[in-house]
Amino acid sequence: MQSMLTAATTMSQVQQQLDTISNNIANIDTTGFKKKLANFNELLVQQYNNQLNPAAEIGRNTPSGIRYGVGGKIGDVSTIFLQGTIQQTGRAMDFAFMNPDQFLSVSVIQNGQPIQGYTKDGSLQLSPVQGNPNLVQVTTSDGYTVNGANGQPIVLPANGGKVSITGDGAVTVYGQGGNVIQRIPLGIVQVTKPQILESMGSNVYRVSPGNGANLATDIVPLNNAQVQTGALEGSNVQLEDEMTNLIVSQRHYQAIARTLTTGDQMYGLINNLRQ
Amino acid sequence: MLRGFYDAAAGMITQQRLVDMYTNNITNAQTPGYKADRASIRAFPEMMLNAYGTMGVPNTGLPQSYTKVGALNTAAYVQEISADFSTGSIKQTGLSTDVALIEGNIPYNAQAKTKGSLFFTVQDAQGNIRYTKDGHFQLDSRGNLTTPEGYKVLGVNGQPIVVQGTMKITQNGQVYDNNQLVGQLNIAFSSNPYLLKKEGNGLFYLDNNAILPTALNTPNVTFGVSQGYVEQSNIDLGQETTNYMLAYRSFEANQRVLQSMDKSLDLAVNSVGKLQ
Repeated sequence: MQSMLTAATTMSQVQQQLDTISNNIANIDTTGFKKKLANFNELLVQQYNNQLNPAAEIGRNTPSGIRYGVGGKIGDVSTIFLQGTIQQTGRAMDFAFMNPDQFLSVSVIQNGQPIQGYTKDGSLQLSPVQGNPNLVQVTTSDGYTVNGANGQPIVLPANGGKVSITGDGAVTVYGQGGNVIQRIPLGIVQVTKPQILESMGSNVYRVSPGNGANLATDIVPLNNAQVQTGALEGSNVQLEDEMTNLIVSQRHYQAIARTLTTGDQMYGLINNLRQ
Repeated sequence: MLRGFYDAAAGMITQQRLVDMYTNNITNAQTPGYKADRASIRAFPEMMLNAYGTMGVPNTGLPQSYTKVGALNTAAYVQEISADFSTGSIKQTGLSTDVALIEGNIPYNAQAKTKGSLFFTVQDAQGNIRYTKDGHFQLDSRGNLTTPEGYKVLGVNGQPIVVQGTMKITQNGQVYDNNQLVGQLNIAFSSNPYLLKKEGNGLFYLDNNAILPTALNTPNVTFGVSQGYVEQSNIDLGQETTNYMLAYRSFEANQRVLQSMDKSLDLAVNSVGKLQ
């Protein structure tokens, strides 16, 4: 029966929308998290030619035959790159981007291969370099290597001095007297087309492979980016929006489930025509 | 056989089609730009019933008499399913690629007995022109403005709209890319929306892939385009669920009629002329 199939197909799609919303809510405290929105679209429409004699149709407005659809689906799940609120932390190695299309270049090891990633998470740390106890490198809080403006990992001598991120987007090492010993600019890029990015998990994005992006113009290195220091960009999830969407989604799911049970009852009526 | 049998069965099929249609409406309650389907049911042509009397005697030349009983319809069927083009509520999303089409002054077509309607123009993969009310667009990696299926949104010049930088869309549909004018959204006007057929994925089309005129050149048609807003589905869950329940109960009533027809036939077949 068509109505039961329609209902069953769309219920699984509404379930996916609920999953997206709960993922947003779960990440309400994640630094630099960008919320996702699931949007619906119609499925195909089927035409039934139920008139044997089209010429005998009197008072007809629409073209011959009847057409109705077979349900809905999630058309796309879009990532919303709106700026989150800036929270002051006072930590020297924390920084926040002021612009929604600025990202930090990081290197992620996946299956033994390094992959170019981009993140908004400005909570940086110094991690030991494998094999050399005298060196440390700048990494994100998940341990991904941060790239400098030259594309290479930022390696500093261990115990070299106080390390902080300065407002001009660089890792700066200060000596005993407060003088600058070393200054390495961070690999900050501007993504002019955020639609080419896809989420890799762990707050890192990468360019979706094979979608025709022109990397030379779409991801532009920034040399003098201004960042907010001692602060972090919070998640851009708004709890009131997500709760409203959650309620709408749940009620929709309920309405569809009702049509499913009623369709089942109709089938029961047909089966009980003759006891 | 008893005429009622076929009537009741046709009634059940009609209500089943209605239920399928209402279910589809309910499943698309969250689809932007979705237009609810409405059905019209028509009775099959009438036939005249005459009761032949017993006054006449054969082979005597005296006329056979009959009394007119009246007209009887022989069941009903779903004649048409048409979309209800009333505007759904406008929701603010803040996405720069979401566009809402707000109808201003739309003339009433007295011949077709309907108001006209405005649509966005898109082009599918085969190059055919399609129309849609769903303003939730995306930018693909090459900068084309597309629907979620990937169909390109066309401008007034018939070319896809391409944006490489920051997109701004004005009230009359002009598209600016980093403050440079790159095109104008083609808003098509249909004076008789009954002629449009649904294709699926939120698209409408005319027979033979015919083209609708653009609303910019049409007198007495005004509209506004709002960026950052999207028009939602125009279905009302309460109304659809109520209609759905009515269709189900009609289905049940037809089923009861069918059962009682069955019992009558049972008597006619098994009990008439039975010798005790």
